[in-house]
Amino acid sequence: MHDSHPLASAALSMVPSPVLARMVALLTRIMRRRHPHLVENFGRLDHGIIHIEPTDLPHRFEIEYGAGQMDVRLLTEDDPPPPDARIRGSLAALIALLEGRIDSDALFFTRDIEITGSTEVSVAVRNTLDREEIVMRDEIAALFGPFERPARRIGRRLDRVIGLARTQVATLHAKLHEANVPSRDLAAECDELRAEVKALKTRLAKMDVRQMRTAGNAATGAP
Amino acid sequence: MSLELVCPAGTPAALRAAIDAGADTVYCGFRDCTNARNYPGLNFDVREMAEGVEYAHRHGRKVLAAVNTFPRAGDPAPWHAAIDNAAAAGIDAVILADLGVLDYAQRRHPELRRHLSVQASASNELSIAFYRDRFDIKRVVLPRVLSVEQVAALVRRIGIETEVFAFGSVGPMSEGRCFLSSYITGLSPTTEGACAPASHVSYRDDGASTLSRLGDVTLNRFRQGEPAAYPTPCKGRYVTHGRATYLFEEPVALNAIDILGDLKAAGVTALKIEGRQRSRAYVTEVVSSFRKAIDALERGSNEAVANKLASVAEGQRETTGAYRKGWR
Amino acid sequence: MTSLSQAKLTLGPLLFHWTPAKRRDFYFRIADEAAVDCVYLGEVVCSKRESFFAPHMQEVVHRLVAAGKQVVRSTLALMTLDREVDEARALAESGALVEANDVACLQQVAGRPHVIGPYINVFNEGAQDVVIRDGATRIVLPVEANADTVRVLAGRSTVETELMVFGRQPLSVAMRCYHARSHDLTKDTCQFVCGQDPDGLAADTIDGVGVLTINGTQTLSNGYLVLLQELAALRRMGVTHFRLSPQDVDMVAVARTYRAVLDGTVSLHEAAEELRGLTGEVPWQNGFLHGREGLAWVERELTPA
Repeated sequence: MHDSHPLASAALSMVPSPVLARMVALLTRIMRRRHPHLVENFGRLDHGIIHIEPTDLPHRFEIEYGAGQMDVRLLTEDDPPPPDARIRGSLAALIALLEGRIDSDALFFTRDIEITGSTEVSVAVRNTLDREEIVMRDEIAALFGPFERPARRIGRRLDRVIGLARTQVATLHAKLHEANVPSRDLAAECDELRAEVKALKTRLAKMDVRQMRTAGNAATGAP
Repeated sequence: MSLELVCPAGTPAALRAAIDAGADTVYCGFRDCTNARNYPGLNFDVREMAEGVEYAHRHGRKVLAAVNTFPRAGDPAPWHAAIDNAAAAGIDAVILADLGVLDYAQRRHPELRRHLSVQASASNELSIAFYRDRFDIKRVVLPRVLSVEQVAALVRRIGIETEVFAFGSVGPMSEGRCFLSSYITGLSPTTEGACAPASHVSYRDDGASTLSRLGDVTLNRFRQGEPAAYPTPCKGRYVTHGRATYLFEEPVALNAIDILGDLKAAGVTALKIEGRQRSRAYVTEVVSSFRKAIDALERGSNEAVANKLASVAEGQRETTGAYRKGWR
Repeated sequence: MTSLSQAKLTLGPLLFHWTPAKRRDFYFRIADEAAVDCVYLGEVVCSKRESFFAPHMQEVVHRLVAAGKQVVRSTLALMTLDREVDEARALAESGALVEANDVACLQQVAGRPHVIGPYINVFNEGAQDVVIRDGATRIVLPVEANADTVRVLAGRSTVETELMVFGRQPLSVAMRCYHARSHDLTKDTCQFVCGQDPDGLAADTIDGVGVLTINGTQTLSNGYLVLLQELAALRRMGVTHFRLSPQDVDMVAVARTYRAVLDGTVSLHEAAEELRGLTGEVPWQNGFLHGREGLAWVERELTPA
């Protein structure tokens, strides 16, 4: 799953870290419920810690698994203990990997993602994630499930983010496929995406604060 | 008969992806040392195998279980359990390599269809005849070392079905009896099921280039953007006569999509896609391409199916391997 | 030490492409001087090499038999051509004792005494039972076998068990000729360049560390397998035959050293010194038997069961 968190963080990175950490915990709980086999499969692996580091976001995430457990955390310290492995890559590449839409070996060998540390840990995580059919939009919708109308609004916004991320993936795909694909200005597209994400972050941060307030009141009313 | 498309699944999700993409048959293995792709996080437990079979049968497709490593002396139980569990799951055939496992399967489950794995390295008429006559195998998976002409000659003489590799790694060594990986790592592909186990693979950045290592042995150095393969010993660079070259095999993938007509004319029954260790995305992409190509072949259509598989090919380059003369 | 001295020493098939004259002289000297009980003859690696030595084969067989050696005819490890299969068939039908290195031969030799070579995988009891049922009278275990495998299989075997104890370890066979590739040639146009390297061609890592040896289509270890300190334990496990694989060193002296260890007429330390003198700079390896990387050297006795 858990390249999913970069997306949540994309939307929420303006939120203070403690709030984001709670959101990550919530998403993890939802993923546990929606994908029980995922937790089970992570729990069957030998113990490992992997960091997921979206290169275009200010947040990093940690997945710890093994001995029947799986946990996901937002990394808040500057210098956490070194993990067994790290996966770095653009948000788009990481989401594509998570959803099983693009082949990680292809990404790795074209250097669109960078894997360092224990190959066993990264292979185990990759294979375990690949066992699940995850669609980010649905996970995020589930995350916002309790907040009816705002959830739908946020869902639409997130769809737009995911849509853009998908465009990027399509470009990646094209890039992977053949050199003779009409060349598109990836950098410009990234800039566009960054601007979009920034605007969304701001809006979502506002919504988030309101929702947190509402959540305290049993999450019934619309703002 | 249309060519049967036999596709890999390292996970239940990949199995569904393969079937949805048009696989006629999917092959997979149990989550232990009994299959030749024993990588962490991969493969099926007993329940997943049964569910996979159920999903495939509901769609009118087949599932094969690979139990194709060689049991270690003193511990045959996992292999026997794998055969028993495959039979209980309603599997359509088991893919076997070891003489003892073949013997067990034939005695305990005579009605369970047996295929001979490529790991048995049966490369000639007499070897195949031995397995056919002794263990009543119904299909042989031919090693990746034969030309199309040799395949055709075998098909004519052996009287059982043949399955040939159509896409995936190029295996230059006689399979099932290559000890290079265990020589370097101490873990055996033959009995433990993982060539170049991930636990022994490491990458190190060396400024402008990356070094790939297996155990304590440096296998390759590649620059940013240079095609590279997963560091199995046969895909490394070695120095002979003072020159570093891909002595065994370049980082290329086998792709027979352009010679499907020749393979059909040679009389092969089934095409095998290699890659249970690869992702769902790989499975979807490769399987749907081959589905289109086979369907086009059946329609007698001359239109070439655009070959877009380079991106998922190992090293992003392709070869027809031993099928064409000159490879040797 | 009586049980140890009953152990047989064998000389495995010559894996390298020596000139016919060198090969003939080598076997003559083995016949006349070497303390081996059994000699395996025949081309295991590449059928293109076979015709070179054919004119001398009968002469060599006679000389070895006259010297009291058992002669076993080894087959190719990988057969794909009709010609190769036909030759194996002819060999099996000749009545000679055959070492089968490709399953192809099993169809031919079934029901008659034969040797299962190390290129046919017998890693477990089930496979062992199948080949014994078919008439195998000796099984040469795969080079990858570890001590547990040897202990189980040799211990329960009703036929002879052989294990390689000296020489470069055969790691793989292929259709492709790597010797030819290293000279920018192919197998079909090879010019027999493998003949230039009577002890194999070094294939080092890109950082200059020795790791492999190329011999035509075969890949071997860079080091020599040396199971000397393990001989007594192997004998106790039930191994009956110990194989010396010919290298371009004084094999008569190598055989003498191993025989002396088996007979208990020399200390292990002295034997190792002697062997070191014979093998020069080539590293020693014994990792597979110790359950380690095959390229490792483990300086200790085998742990008892």
